[in-house]
Amino acid sequence: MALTAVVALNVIKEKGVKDMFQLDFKSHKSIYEQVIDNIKELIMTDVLPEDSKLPSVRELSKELTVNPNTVQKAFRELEREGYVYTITGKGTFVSGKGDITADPAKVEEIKVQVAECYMELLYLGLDPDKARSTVIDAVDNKGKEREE
Amino acid sequence: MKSANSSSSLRNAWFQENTRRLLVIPIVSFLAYFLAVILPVILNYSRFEDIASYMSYTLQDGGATAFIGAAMAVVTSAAVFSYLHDTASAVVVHSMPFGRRKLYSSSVISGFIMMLIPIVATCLLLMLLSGAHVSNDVVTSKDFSIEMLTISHALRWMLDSIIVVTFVYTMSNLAGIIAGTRLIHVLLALFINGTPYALLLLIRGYAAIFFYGFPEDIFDNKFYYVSAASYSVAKDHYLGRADILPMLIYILVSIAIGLLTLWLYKHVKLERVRNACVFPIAADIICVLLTFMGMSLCAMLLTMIIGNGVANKGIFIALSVGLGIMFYIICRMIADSTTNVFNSSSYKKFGIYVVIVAVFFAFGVFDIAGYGHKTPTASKVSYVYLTNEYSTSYGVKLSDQNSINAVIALQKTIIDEHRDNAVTSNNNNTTVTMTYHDKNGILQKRTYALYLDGGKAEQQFKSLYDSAAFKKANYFIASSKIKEVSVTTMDSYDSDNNYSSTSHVIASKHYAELLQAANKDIQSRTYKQAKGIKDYSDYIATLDVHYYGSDDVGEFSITKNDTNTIKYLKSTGYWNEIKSK
Amino acid sequence: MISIKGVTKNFDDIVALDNLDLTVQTGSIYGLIGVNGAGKTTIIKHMAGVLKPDQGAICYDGQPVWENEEVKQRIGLIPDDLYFPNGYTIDNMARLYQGAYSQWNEIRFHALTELFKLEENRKLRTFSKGMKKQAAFSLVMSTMPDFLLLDEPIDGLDPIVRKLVWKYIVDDVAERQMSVLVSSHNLKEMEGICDYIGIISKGKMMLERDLDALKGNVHKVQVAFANGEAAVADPYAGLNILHKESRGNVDLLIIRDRAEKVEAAISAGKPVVFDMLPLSLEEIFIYEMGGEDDEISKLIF
Repeated sequence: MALTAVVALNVIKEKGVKDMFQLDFKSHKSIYEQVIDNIKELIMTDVLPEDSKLPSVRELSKELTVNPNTVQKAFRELEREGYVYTITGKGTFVSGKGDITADPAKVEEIKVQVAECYMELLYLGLDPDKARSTVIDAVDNKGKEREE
Repeated sequence: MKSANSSSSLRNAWFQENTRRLLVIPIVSFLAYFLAVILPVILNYSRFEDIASYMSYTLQDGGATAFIGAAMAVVTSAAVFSYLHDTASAVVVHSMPFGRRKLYSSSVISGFIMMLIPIVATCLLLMLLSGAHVSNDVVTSKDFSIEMLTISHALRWMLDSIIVVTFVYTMSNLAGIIAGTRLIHVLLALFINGTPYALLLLIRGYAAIFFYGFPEDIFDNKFYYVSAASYSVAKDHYLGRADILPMLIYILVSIAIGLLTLWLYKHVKLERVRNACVFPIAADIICVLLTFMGMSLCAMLLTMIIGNGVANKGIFIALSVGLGIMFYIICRMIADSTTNVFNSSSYKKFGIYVVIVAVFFAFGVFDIAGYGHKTPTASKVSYVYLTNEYSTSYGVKLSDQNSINAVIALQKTIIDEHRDNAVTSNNNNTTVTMTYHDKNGILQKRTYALYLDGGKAEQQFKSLYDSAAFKKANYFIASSKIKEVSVTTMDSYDSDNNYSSTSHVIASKHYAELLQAANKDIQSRTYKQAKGIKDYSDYIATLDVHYYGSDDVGEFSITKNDTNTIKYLKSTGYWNEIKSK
Repeated sequence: MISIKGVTKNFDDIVALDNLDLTVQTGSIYGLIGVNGAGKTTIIKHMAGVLKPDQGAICYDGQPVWENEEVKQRIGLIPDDLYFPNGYTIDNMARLYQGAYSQWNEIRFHALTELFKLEENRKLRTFSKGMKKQAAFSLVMSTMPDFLLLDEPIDGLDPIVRKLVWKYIVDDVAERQMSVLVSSHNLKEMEGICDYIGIISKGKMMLERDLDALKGNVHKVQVAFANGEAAVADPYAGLNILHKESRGNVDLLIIRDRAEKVEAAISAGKPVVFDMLPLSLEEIFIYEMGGEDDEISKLIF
């Protein structure tokens, strides 16, 4: 039975949405990475709008029952990548999407992962063209979903 | 919320917790004291004579209350240091922000105050009950020598009890710091309190058995000083009026041991909790002592039983070897908390024990220092006090060179003959003790059996007895120190050794002449005559002289040969009185 | 900061701690892991000022702990063997702690006993083992320690209670920069909570590192090349291979190198199977402790 932590962020309550943030302690992905990815998702899907305040390190670590240093490191990394900015004494806030700089190494990693998905389709027995169009269709569909 | 964290040890948390935990001890102890001393007085408030001697014994010598106090001290010590004898509690307590000095002093002081409470409460009650009186019957009778309960008795009892309890408590705390479990703590407390006395007795036992001529009463009463508890019990009976100095010394010793215990506590390695002793050296020393004491006691008893009162050295050594090994194995098992003590470490330690005992035996059993053979150099002796059966007092004081030489010669003969020194009751020997003094004090003291079988020793004694110096030393001296002179006759004597006697008091105006007459008879009495006075049928009456400031009684057995004495008594009219009985 | 340098301790002829170094940064949660008998409880007892090392120093913010009442005021210890004096209730214990620790927080104490549903006036000896732990936790946390030492703290507690306990600890770490050292066998739980890990074996510190760095540097790799032949001569060249096993055409490796380097090197060989997974803390521990032992390394694959 996986331990899942559920947090209700104040900011999310305003939008009437709860249960947006789940950590999977059994995953091989480190907590640090999960916190980063979850916050990025919330930002990119506009659940956390620009200039909204994130919960403090303390609040978040307590809600998730996670080492505050881990949360602290995640915030620092998000700030380095441009997703958030900190005002001393006030807190951490969501940046505009334009401020986000994509880390080239990470982009490369994703590219490799996409390529691997293609490989998996081949293993399933699809021919190269079918595999290729499956991948492109998936991307297109997701894009349409986002715009809705 | 902050709490007041005072550095005053009386208020700190550990002290308070201890006090709260230990409360049951003063309650139980007070009940015990109540039953032992308060209840008897209450029940006999108007008939104090019924318990007068019991109260006198209990209050002045401690009696049952000495036991109660000692038990209370040991239990309090065990309770106060129980946290040290369990790994979980030792860890938790020592991780708290208390330094060891604070832990020690708070613990010790809280235990001490707990012990004071029942003693002080009992004292107060005793003072309140000091109005206890005797019944009317006793008041009217003339035989009035009952000691009443007074406030000063109560206070004195309290002081004595506090000193005894403090002493035992301090020794028990020392045991507690050395011990690693509660059981060992209690056993070790008893050991530390009792060993000095027991050890002294044992060592004296060695001397008495193996040192030819050892005067057994040496240090007799001094041993009681070794422990405050034994001192308390013995003081009025054996040691004369108790004085302040021993009490001060017990207090000082308690303080010194308390400081030693604190120092040891600071060096306790807590990882050794649950071992028998947290200081391995302590365990080794105790093993040696216990083995020595067990071995000695059993070997001595068995040797005396086997030899029927005569100690055979060979048997003793053989028994010692076997018993020593046995006791050592047992002690080692307790110390190491295991039955597997058969390893090189134990053998090495046993080897050390053997060496110690070998050295001890060399001096104590085989007497290589020659105690049993020494006689003093005549020129160094200023006088010798020769205790014997045939003197008017316990013995005679001989200060002339000839007599001294004669005594030394007698001693040499006895040593050479080396006969058994145990005095038997079949009248073929008597006891003589020679105490040689020089100007600074005692040079040597020996006690021997003198065999009355016509041998060389007896011959020497006879010529000494018949010498002018001896006779002169035996004379009565009429002096102002004389309290009373009386002539005592034995009236009846039955098979149960019950007897009745009558004392006829002599008027002081007759002292000088009567004693002069007795002296003449002493002068002419021969050794053979003196030897012939064996029991009450051999003499008519005894002339008793009591002195001020001394328990000594001068005694002269008047036989039909003592014509001068009889003549004087006749002439003064005492004889009729005497003869009529 | 807790600084332990060069600590050596002998128990008669057994070496319990061997020149041990250990550092807990302020505000860090340090997980101490090791097999039974490795010395975890021993070093914690030293850190609590109960045992004295034969050599070495144990300091809190520069102050040595031995016989130092001021430093001990700031330390909270929950040992694996709990102790409460005979007949004591939680309230009795609270009074003792209140008198002993100047930072005692009565309000927090009552909040905790309420949270854990512990009756303050009930004798502790009637409590179950888990409830005793909860009681100990309530008492120790109420002394507002700056340094918390936990020896196998969580056995016997149910999952809900564990969660509450960690929440409280994490809160104090975030709020007051409390430093925590926890020794446990529950590596999964530690993985989620600790930011620093120390692995101790036979009294020596084998490995002491930031957890993320530890995990980020060691990978479990499963590789297979078509027909067993890689596109390059030796795709593993230049990699720090800690362990290699082959089952048929599939290679199982443990590689200590940065992920990108490993990926780049192996991808160059055009593998048909290439799985790279970070090791869990449990796997890292078993690997470090198991060494060459085949039985143990099988646990990893």
